[in-house]
Amino acid sequence: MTTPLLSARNIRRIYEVPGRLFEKSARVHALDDISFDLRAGRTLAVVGESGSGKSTLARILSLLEEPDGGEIVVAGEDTRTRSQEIRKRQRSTVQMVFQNPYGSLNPRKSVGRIMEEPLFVQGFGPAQVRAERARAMLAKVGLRPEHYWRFPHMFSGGQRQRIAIGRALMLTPKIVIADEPVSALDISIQAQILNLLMDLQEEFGLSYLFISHDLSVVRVIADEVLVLYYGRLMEFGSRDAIFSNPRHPYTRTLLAAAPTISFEPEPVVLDVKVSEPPSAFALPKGCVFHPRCPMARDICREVRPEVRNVEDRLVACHFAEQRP
Amino acid sequence: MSDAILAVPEKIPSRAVELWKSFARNRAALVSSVVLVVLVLLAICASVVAPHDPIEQFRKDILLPPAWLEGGKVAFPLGTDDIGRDILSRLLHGAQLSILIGIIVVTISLVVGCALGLVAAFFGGLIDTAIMRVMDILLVFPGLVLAVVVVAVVGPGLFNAMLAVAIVMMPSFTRLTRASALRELSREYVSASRSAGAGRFHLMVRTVFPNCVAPLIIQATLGFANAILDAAALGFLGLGAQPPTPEWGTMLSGSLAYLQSAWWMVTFPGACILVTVICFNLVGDGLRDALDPKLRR
Repeated sequence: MTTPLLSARNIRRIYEVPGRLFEKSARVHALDDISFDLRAGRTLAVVGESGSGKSTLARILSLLEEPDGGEIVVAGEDTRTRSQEIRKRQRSTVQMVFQNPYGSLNPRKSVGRIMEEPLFVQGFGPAQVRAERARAMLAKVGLRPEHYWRFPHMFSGGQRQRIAIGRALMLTPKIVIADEPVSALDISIQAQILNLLMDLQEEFGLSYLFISHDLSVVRVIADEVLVLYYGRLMEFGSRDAIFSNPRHPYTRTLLAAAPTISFEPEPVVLDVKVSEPPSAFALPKGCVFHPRCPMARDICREVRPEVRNVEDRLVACHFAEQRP
Repeated sequence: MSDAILAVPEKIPSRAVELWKSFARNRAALVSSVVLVVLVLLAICASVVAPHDPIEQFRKDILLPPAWLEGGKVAFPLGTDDIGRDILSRLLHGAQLSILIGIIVVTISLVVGCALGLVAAFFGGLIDTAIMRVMDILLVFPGLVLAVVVVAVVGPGLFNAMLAVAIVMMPSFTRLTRASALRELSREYVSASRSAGAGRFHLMVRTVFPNCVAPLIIQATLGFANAILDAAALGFLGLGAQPPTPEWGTMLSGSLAYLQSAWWMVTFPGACILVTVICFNLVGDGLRDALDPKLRR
């Protein structure tokens, strides 16, 4: 097995919410002890509901934020380095595509300028070379050369996302972190963008860390799936393992909640006991999922389950071997 | 060869040309900028164009009405003031000083105010608090009182008066810049720049600031009028431009006593300020629209 391109070990991120007058400050564990590897040319999907820490993970891996604990190794180099040179190299190794194509493009800059900005700030080449690269990239992401001079507001959501993807690839990264790159788009456009992402992956040998809450998208694009819930890893394994044989009750609930079009009889829907999710400020003791878990027992209320290996995947549940 | 013919000639619009084109499409802005250019030219050539010396007193022709009214003289087209000086000549010479005051004051407060606002928004924390509290303190005092205090500290004189007015106007620029910068900072395109490795200076000046200019332009054009009037008020108190130096604001405030008996003394300087301010405003509007790619056609 090859060494992973990116590996995260025990990532922890805590947000401090400062208290007002006469109030204590509160802490939110956005990410708690997350570890995983991303191998070259593969797609790792991170799924979870709102507030599960998906976007925090994206920001940390794309070096926009620093974790409060744990280590990230990008292509063999620790990100906690002080060396500007390594830092710069890591920046161009990991690039990000943002969720909202309406917010991620600077409205005052032409498409050409937007695409060239990464090269510009990295001090790459003379202006002419940068412009050539930008034009070549426009073609790669399915836009026309005359779009070079246009401004973001002249484009549709799908085209904007193409621009954003093109910009992310300008520094020839090895890893692209995509934070819900299609969730702001129409269904018909989603498919186009997903196809584009997969084509580019093949062409450039990219690895994706694909963040999504849409399981039907994940099923198409992912090689591996990591399920997050309130900043904790619930289950992590290959796509097939997760989709066809989920071992964590939370994963099963998620899958059951995803809408499907089929004439098969409805799958047995798990009975989620409390529909109200817990407050991020006061997470339940033991397993974070126990108040909503149909399989919860006494031990779940007391002891936090370790992440362990069960049937070719990692899972954090005391009863991973049991079926409901 | 056939390739060369088939190739569509690519138009490479230069930024300045694009900007001018979309600016020129705005009629009001275009006319206003022409008026401003004429005004500036007249001001520069005042000593050639003006019929008289601005401080020469014609003792026999005190408070003459404009030439087209009964009792007016062709030699004094806009009449004379209470000590017999030609109003047209004073207006032309005064334009030099007034426009200069407006431009210098707005430039100082705009540059310093924006820089402070950007720094406050980007660094946050203690620096933000320090800058913004100082601005709040400046805002607490009535503008003129503060200006008087500043002049009292640095000493009277025209430049010090301009400095004082600039300091009075600064907080509004700082607050506007900080507010827009904070709003823009939360947008994803800033994160995108950052993840590409952009440094703080690049983010401040090249990424965020261009998106903050719209309200600043409006504030700056309005500030231009305030600058002239505040500088005039200081002059009136003996802390700014000293008589007999011609200056619009001073001419205006010095002639208030004659509002009923000699309306032309008040009206013409007032009209000059009004026209200049309106022109600056319209040019500012045009500039704001021309700079916004969304409004360019």
